[in-house]
This record gives sequence, structure tokens and C-alpha cells, in this order.
Amino acid sequence: MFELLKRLVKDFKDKTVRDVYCDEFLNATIATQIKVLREQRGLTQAQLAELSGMKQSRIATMEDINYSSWTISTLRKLAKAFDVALSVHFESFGEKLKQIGSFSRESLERPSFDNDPIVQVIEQGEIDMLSGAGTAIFTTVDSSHYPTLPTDQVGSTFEFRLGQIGTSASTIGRNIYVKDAA
Amino acid sequence: MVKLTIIRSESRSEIWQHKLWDYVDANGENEIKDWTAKLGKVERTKLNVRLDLLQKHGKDLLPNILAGPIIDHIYKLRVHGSVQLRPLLCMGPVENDKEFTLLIGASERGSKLKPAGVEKKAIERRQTIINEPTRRVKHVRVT
Repeated sequence: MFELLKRLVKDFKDKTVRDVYCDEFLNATIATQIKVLREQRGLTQAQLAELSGMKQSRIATMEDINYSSWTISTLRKLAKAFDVALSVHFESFGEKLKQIGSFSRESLERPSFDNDPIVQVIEQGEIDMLSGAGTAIFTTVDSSHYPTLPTDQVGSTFEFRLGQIGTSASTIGRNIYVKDAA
Repeated sequence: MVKLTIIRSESRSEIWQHKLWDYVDANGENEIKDWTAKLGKVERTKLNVRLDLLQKHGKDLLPNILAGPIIDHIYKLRVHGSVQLRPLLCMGPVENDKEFTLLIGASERGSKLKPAGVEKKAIERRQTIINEPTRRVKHVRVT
């Protein structure tokens, strides 16, 4: 993957190339995330259409990496149907390269509000992760449910910093969401 | 020391899931590379995005990245734009689950592939590679 990113950095020195590449990657990301979120919730296209107030044929049209006529209004409807927040923001090319590198089914999945571990951490007030820093150890890994978890690092120590929930823990190359202070 | 339970982790995919190959003719010329080099910068970049994604994730994660099989094991890669690129490829044909081979460059106008007869050529080239696996090389990414 690093090989691809190095190649892209070279390609991106051309403005047309970086603009077109990122436009196309954005279209592919949105289309794929709609499919991934739908499958994560066990919905058919027809069921998602009903939840979002659209026709099934429209869902099928949008679940296509070649689709490019996105509107904020349509994405808002889908966000409500998936029970997630819609986030639209401008990004540096460096951040975009990181997203290209980490693109995967897992990176596109999002929990609904009721299943959101970050919401639960904050609600339960088990640990003040959002306002402090310190040291933590991994204690449990449900590898059957999360096969990508670093099971080999159970019991190891890592440092966390302000606001680390949901951000990359660079020492292990993964995003870690945590709860259960003990 | 604070003990924490990991409840979700997002891995960075480090591994390419598929190898990508280009067909070469009897003289060892990489026709896919030559075809790609003749494309405009925008079309070539759009093509490269899809090939990068296909190589990393295969065809199952990305909705409608491929159409087909349109005929005997032949798929078309869909690249929308002012020119509708439709290079033809196959899975394998040596290791079917682990690789794709680009067989011939093509575009689509109306619902017809150009140049005429590319589907037949693609079938022939796939069979050539099955008989003679040296008739392909690792994909050359043209930028």
C-alpha cells in the first residue's frame, strides 16, 4: 500500500491528476459506503428506499462507483435512514491520501446511534478519554466479531492523548475505540 | 495505568488482494500499456483510480466496478466520462480468485463496444494466456 501512496504523491504533483483522482475516489467512496452501511444493517435496497423515502431504482443508481450527481439533500436522507450523522468537509490532499490508504469495508462501517461505542463511553462516563491523556492496556479482544483487532497485542501498553478516541493510534496503525476503565 | 477494552478497531489494509496483469502480443508488446498511454490525462486518471481499487479490493466491495461477464469469462471495467472507457478483462485466468488480466482496450458508444470485434479478441487472448502464461506481464501503470 505504501508503494501506491508513494506513486500517488508523485502523480498528484499534477493538479489535474490529483483533482480527477480525488473526485473519482470520492464517488467510489460514497457509493461503496452506502452499500456497506446498508449491508451492515441487513437492509435490502427496497428497505433502504422505504426508510429514506426514495425509490429502489434510485438506491441502485447511487450504489454505483460511477455515479457522480450527489446532492447534500439526498445524502441527508440516507444519513437519517442509516441513523448516522452526515459529515461534509474540505480535506487536504495528505489526509485524502491517508483515506485512500485505509479504504476498506471496515473503514466505511458506522454504528447507528444506539450501537455507537463512543456515545456509550461518554454516556457511561467510565473514563475521561476526551479531556485527558495517559496510558492504557488492551485487556479484551472479541476477535470473532472484530477479526481485524490486534489480538497479538492484548496486554500491551499504548499511550493515548487528548481526543484519541476515534483517531489513529499511530504506534499500532489502527483506530481504537475504547470503553471500560477498570 | 488504565485498563481498557477494545470494542472496535479499524485496520489499515496493507495487502493488495489481487494481482493485475497486462496481455502482451507475440512480440512481447504490452498493448494495454500502449492503449493507456494514448488516452487523455483525465480518462487515464479515471482508469487508474478503478484499477487501483480493483487491485486492492477485488470486485465485490466496489459496486458496479465491473460489468459482466458480458461473454465467456470476459468482464468490462466501467469508466464513465466524455469517453466511455470499457477495457475488457478476465479474472485469472491462471489463479482465478487472486488476479485480473487486462486483455484489450475498448470504449463504448451507444451500447456498442469499439473497436468492433473486441469481445471475440478478448476471448481469444484469454485462451492464449491459458495456453501460454508468459503472454502477460505485471500491469504497467501509466501516468
